Amino acid sequence: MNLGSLIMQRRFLFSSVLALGLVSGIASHASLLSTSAAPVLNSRFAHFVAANAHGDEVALAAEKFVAALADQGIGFLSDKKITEEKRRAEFKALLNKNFDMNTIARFSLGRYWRSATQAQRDEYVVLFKKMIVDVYSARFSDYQGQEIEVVGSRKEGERDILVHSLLRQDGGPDVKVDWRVRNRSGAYQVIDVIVEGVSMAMTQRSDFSSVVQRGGGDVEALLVHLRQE
Amino acid sequence: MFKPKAADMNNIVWNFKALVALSAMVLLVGGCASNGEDRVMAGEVEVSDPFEKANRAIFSFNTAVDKAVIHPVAKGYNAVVPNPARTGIDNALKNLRSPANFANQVLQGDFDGAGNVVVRAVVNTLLGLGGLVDLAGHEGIEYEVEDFGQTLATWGVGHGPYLVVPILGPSSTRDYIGYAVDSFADPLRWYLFNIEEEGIYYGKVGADYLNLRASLVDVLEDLEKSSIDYYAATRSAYYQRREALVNDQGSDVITAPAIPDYDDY
Repeated sequence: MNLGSLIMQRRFLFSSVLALGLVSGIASHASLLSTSAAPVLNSRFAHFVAANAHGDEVALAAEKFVAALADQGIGFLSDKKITEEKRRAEFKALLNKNFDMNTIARFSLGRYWRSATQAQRDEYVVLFKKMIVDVYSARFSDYQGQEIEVVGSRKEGERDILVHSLLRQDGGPDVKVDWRVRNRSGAYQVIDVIVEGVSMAMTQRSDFSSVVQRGGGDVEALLVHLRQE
Repeated sequence: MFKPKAADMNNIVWNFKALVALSAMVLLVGGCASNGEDRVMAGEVEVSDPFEKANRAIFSFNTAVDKAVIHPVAKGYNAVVPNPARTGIDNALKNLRSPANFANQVLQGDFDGAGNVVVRAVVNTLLGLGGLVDLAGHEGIEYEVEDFGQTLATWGVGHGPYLVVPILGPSSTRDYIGYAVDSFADPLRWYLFNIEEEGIYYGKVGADYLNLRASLVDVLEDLEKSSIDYYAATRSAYYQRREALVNDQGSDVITAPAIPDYDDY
């Protein structure tokens, strides 16, 4: 194969990829089917109006809380200037302030919370918080420009609001992320994150339950693992 | 480029929906179609794992094979194939699933969903470069995967035992039966076997597998890192995800677990 045809091939590849990108770009703005399709909320704040129409102040506040939390998180994740250490510290502060870690920790231990001694509970909560920060700061460290858009919410039980959002990523499909937010007289905290129907808290609970169960039902079996993390 | 007026398109859409609804009604005469409204989930999913010991052994084997071969291939695929092309391949494979999605929507009594499958298939095949571009999705008619496992679920069939199969991975017995039925009934398979091009069919099955695995690279990496017992975490995530799919991810259906107030903490 000579150089000319190789360059032609590459050009062809490049231009077809470009065309594909362009077409899909155009497609997102065309309104071919918009009359029959469910309305797509394009504006980040469109949902606030929707929540307001129902006169639900709590839902509105919860949606705003999640949107602000996402903006704040993305704000320092996308800040390439700060050091890894600083990023971690900020992330930790953000988590501790906006996530109800005690509730998440307790839910994650499930029925074994009851059988644990007070000393075990205290140690568990400390180790759990550390683990969550470790896991999530590692998870978010390879941030690649995703955006979170709040698209609605629904009331869940007495105190909770499930805020629906979409994680938008370049090229890939949107990911449905639901935030379970607990309202304690106007103070909001996240108690669960549900990704495409998979609850982080529930998965953690299944994981921990299995570890304790296989360790003969003693919470110590879990603590051994958490201490190593 | 051919561009129909919005009103025309609306008409076409409506006609398709009517046609779909009509044919589905004919199919279901005498049968009872569950609309899934009574399937509101409260959170904790019942898991039956009587073969846990064997399952764990196969899971370890799969994890080892995955680390050595499949994960690197999937990661390589993500790295080498640029994103627009990967999305195109994903769209095309989803488009090829249209017959299965359609049949299962009808069997589940979800006629709106069945209409959406037809609209998506027609629009994306004709206007979306043979399915490479998800035009319909961009316009809010989103892709929904419907398989026979979900259909069985809407008919009230439980999961049965959890099964981890070598290479194929974890699933419930019900969902594996569903997968077998979908594969067997696939018109593409019948067509390709008929013209003695089985190779193309197996190639497509392989592409499906790679495409799925590649889309799960980050998810599974995360899950493994964040869990102590990867097997238990995967099992839990599997059941939760399936439950969400059965409920069509509707925002009016609760799939999230209820978390109590711990005031005595």
